[in-house]
Amino acid sequence: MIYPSIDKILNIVDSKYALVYIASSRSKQMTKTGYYQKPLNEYKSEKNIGRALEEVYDGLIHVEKH
Amino acid sequence: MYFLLDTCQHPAVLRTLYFGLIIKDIIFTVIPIGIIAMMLVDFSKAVVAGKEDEQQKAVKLIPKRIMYAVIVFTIPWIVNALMKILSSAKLNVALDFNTCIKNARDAEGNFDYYDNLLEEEEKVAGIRSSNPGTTNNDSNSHSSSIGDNSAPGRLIQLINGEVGNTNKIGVDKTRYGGQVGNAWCAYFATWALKKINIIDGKSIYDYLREYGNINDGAASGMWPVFRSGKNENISFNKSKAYGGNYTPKPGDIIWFQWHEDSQAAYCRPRYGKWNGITQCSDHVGIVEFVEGKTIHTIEGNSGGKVSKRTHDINSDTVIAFGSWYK
Repeated sequence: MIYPSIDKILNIVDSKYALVYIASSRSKQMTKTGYYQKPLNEYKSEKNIGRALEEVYDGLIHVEKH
Repeated sequence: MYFLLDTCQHPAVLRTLYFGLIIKDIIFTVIPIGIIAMMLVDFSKAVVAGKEDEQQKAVKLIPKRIMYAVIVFTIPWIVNALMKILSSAKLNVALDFNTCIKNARDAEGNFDYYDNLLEEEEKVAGIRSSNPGTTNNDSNSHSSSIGDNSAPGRLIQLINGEVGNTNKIGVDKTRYGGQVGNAWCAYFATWALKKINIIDGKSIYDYLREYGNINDGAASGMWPVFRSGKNENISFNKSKAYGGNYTPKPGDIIWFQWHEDSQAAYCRPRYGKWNGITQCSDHVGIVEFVEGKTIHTIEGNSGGKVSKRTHDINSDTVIAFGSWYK
């Protein structure tokens, strides 16, 4: 869940609160659909929250600002 | 393999580490100052005493104290050097250690972030444990139990709206695919999977297609994907009649092989009864929900249109299920 480091991800997403929301939404989606954007062995984290953060860090989740 | 990293993700562990690191920093600041202060005291004592043996004693104490200080300073340095060596060998434990320490150092001011993540993680774990109950007795809550916005929920909602439709929508036009007059159960199933986006514009069909070929027009056209074993969330499961122990869940693909005496039977008369490994299937549908021993399905080309059907879970015409999410 804390991988990758918050400092690195905050360069991509402005706020840590938004980051929690994004990670939460994406991990729920992973849990419900079983859909992962990378092969499972490429995720460092075992948990979906951590995997969601990794996807944010890898630029696999596009964040739109309104 | 990432045991240490997982442990380190817990906010309580992070807090402990963070305060441990602060204490370490304090000790490392205090020790050199303390040594200098003590050396000054020893010297001044020796000078004040004016005796030669006491002066020598004080001089001897200096290297001793420096040695103790060096030992204290060396321990973390040795640990760090060791971890760096292990890390260059790409050993997970070392990567975990470094990430753990780095995150603990960065945690100041971000503890609420970790608390919130943990809270969300627990919520997600809650979803997993209450994931689509396949033998739910409350028939009203079957599709809603997976959440209307979930991919299986949206899939079922979509195909529910198609019930009653036929494939032919013009002289030579079809709604779900294939040519007019073709068997279209598989065209309907793949059409529905193409309609439901999961993320970034990728449909369930696109997602499945990454793991093997799909023949849109054949009842067993999705078998290569479900049997590829390339994604742990995608599985091909034998039905109970063929020795399986799998209970289907909403959104699963369901395959059938009709008895020889059925007009629609193609596979059994040609290849014999499905043996659990090879041979074809006559028909395919999508599981809507399971109620006790009854599987409720929505199938294309069933009675010439999209129809809702029920099947006994132990029936030998039901041969297998394709699961694409856990």
